Amino acid sequence: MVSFDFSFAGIGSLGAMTLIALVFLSYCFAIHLIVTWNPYHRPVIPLVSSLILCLGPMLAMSMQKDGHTSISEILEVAFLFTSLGLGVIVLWMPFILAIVTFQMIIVSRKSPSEDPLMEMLDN
Amino acid sequence: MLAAFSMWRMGPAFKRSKFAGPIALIGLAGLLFLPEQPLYFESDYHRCEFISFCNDDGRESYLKVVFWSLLSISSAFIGCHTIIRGSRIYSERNLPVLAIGWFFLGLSWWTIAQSSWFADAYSRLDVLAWMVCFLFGIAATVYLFFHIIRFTEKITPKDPPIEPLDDNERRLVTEMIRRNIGGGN
Repeated sequence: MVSFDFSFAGIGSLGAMTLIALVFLSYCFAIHLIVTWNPYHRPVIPLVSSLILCLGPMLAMSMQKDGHTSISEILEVAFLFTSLGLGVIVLWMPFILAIVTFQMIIVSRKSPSEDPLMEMLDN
Repeated sequence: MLAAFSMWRMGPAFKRSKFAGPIALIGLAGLLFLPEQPLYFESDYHRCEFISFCNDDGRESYLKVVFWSLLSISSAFIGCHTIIRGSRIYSERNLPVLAIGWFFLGLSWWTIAQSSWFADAYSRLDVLAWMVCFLFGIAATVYLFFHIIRFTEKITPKDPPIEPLDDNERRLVTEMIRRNIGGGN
């Protein structure tokens, strides 16, 4: 029996889920920008904005109780936000898989189209 | 795992792409090997009674969901990759490969059917509302980042136009395209 309690830590409001989506996506985007940092890219503004958008709500939530925070509390909140975000994405998985399956049916039946690039090269 | 995926997508032109595999393994280990609930004499014992992901029950249900989700996602990925390989997109249709691909895609659907967590979630109106709200949040964030990136591009000084390819470079590019897309003919 697979079950997962979504209402832990008091997160149950609809606005909170929208906020979790914002934090989760900003967090993923920040990681992507940091990891793929290269001299041909200027990610400073998107990186700073994504860090503000993900760390701001995390800090606010970790300070919610007593106005103080610690690294462990921030990490706990980060775990909560990311696991909730991933959990909701997993919930969407059957719908995503249905679209993917439909695409695979098209791919399986598809015959190769004439490639204008190859034709251009031949000429 | 996200960092590993991003590194892997950077391709062989960047040396760091070689670290994608080990980093993905570390991420997977972090996802699966969670610490157990602290013992009664450890400092966090009482705290964990109130935090569901920290106690043994929460840990067990979390691991079940992670296990079934990883099984579904990985079988779907393998299935799609095999179907694309077996179809007529890149070469001639290969029916056994195509059949194996569909087997894995079917396996993915089977794992979803076996996981009662989806049925439990879809039968609750509040969870459905959260899913929709999450989607709205994703859409709003994408919209926000779209404008941030557009603003960044607008204020970034433009590079001067590059020189057109000379004959040697043109031949090289033509040959590369011919070998990679034209099946080496």
